Amino acid sequence: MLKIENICLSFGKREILKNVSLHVNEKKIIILTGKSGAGKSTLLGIISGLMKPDSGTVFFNNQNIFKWSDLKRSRFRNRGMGFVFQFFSLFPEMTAYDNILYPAIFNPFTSKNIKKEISELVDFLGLSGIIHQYPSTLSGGERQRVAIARAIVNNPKFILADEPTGNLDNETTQDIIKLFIRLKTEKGISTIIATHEKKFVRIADESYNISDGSLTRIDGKNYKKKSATETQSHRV
Amino acid sequence: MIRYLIRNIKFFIKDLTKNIARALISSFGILFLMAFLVLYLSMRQSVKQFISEKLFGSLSINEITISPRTGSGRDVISTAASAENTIRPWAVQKIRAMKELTSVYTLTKLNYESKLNVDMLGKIKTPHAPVFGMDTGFFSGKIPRWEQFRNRKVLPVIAPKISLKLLNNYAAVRGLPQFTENMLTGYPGEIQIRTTGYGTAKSDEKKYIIQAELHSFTGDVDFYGILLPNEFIYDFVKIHGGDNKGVEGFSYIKIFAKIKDAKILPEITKKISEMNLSVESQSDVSRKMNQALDVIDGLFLLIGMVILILTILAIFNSYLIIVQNRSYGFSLKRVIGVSKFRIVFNFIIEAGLIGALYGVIGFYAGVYLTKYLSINISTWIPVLQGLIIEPAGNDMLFKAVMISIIISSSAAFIPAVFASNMNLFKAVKKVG
Repeated sequence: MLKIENICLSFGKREILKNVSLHVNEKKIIILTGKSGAGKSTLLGIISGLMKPDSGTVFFNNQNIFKWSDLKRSRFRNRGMGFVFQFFSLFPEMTAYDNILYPAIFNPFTSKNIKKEISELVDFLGLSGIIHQYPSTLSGGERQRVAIARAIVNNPKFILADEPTGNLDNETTQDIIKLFIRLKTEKGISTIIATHEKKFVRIADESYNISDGSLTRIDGKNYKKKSATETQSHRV
Repeated sequence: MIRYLIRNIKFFIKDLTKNIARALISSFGILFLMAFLVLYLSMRQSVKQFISEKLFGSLSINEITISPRTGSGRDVISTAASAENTIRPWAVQKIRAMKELTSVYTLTKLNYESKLNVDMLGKIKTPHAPVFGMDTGFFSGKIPRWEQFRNRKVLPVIAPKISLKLLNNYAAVRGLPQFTENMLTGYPGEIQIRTTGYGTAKSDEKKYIIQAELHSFTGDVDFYGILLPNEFIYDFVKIHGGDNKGVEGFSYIKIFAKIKDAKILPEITKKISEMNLSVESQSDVSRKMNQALDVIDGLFLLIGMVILILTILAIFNSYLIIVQNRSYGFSLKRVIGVSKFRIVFNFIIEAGLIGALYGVIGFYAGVYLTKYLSINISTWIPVLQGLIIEPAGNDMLFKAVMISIIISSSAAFIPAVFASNMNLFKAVKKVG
């Protein structure tokens, strides 16, 4: 579905990404870990077509997205993918409902039953009762669920999530993790998550680490054990 | 598709209403620009007419006007100024005797204090009204019933055309209907002439009241007062001149004449100039008028350009600030799938709508300013007495709106492009 091939990007003399390649198939949760400034968000920016790499490209359904016009890439972002950010990135002047509806406004294929669809989505994400409130009156978990609702309102193929739980407590983080799993199993949506949270590795189908601009696959089981040991030793 | 369009328009309006206050403030300068433009166009037309009708008069190609030179040596082109210096009688006689000239008429001024007693819209007014005299023949073919402009029992009075405009202005302010020349023809009044000077004992004071009626209005002669037949001036001075021997009864202040052969104009001009007089011909008038208009035009154009540039820069700068303030919103829109074109387009439409609104407000502000200026300009600048500025018509409204839209949209264009080209992914990530 999504092929990232030999992506290189430098800011001045600093190499951010070196020959990064990644294949994302349907119904997968992919985790990207790495230190701050390692290039995780930059990679998501490139996948979305909002940032252009120095070399390499991104294929969506075997089409090079950087050969598309800005309009086509915008449509691709609107209908093909959804975004979730650490700071929720909601429009503060809109209600939760309008925030969720917003991407659908720019989609000519939005069904005429969009209100009903949003209502189902709201039930699915447990947002009933807060839908007409403004973001400033919502809790962090509620805001993030509104952001996820907005990300999937156009039924995208995948979600790009940049530190989606970075601003949430443990309990809410667990809820959001469960939500991504439900999105995969119930709606068939793949998710690429850039995160520091080791908890995500448990649910990942594939995990990668970005270090010094290079992307390396992590052995999920060893990583889980290692992180568990680290957690144990911290407790001691 | 229609549903999609309606949804988009609804959201655009919602978006616009959210940002309207900020956008209105940022484009505020357009209002001044438009008001200035309307004022400029109204003034330009009126000033042109004023110069052409009131200051220069309407001379035919072979007509010349002879005036005294002022003390500074500059040619006198307005009677109000030339009244201070007069043409000596010997010079008048010499000019009258010149064979190259025909139809020589003199504009005279009675040198006694004179007032006009008139019922003006229900109120008796007695304003000071300097008395001027003109030869009857001067008006041949220029005004109706010109031959009746003669010394008779009820004296015919010719008023300057400007006085009709002033009267109509006065009437308009009080909500009264406008007067026409015909409506006022035959309107009665009294002329009070006091031949004795100030300081004369009341018992020795000589005051004469002459019954008069309005004959017509003229724009052919430049004078501020009332115009009577020269026959009356001469007779009056002959009879009553002895009342005050210290004052010359009347003075010649301007001579109008026709040159038989226009080719000899330089020669005639030289001859008359030697009498310490100045000669104005149609070509001089048109040259001076064009020079004056060029200066006025240039000045207004310069001010207009400066205001235009400053306005565009101010709007441009304000929009840049708006783009910075709204960078989060723009970035988020880009992430959600709004195209660059759409961001630029929406921003420009927003600016255009604001521009249109300011175009309308600016137009009416300009019309109001013009009216205000028209009423007050003669108080502020006395030399412009008689300048009536007609506000721009409604046909200008469309132009004002279009210009306003173009200015606002073009000032917003570059900031809009900035908005669509920001480092969006990073901006969204950083701004909470």
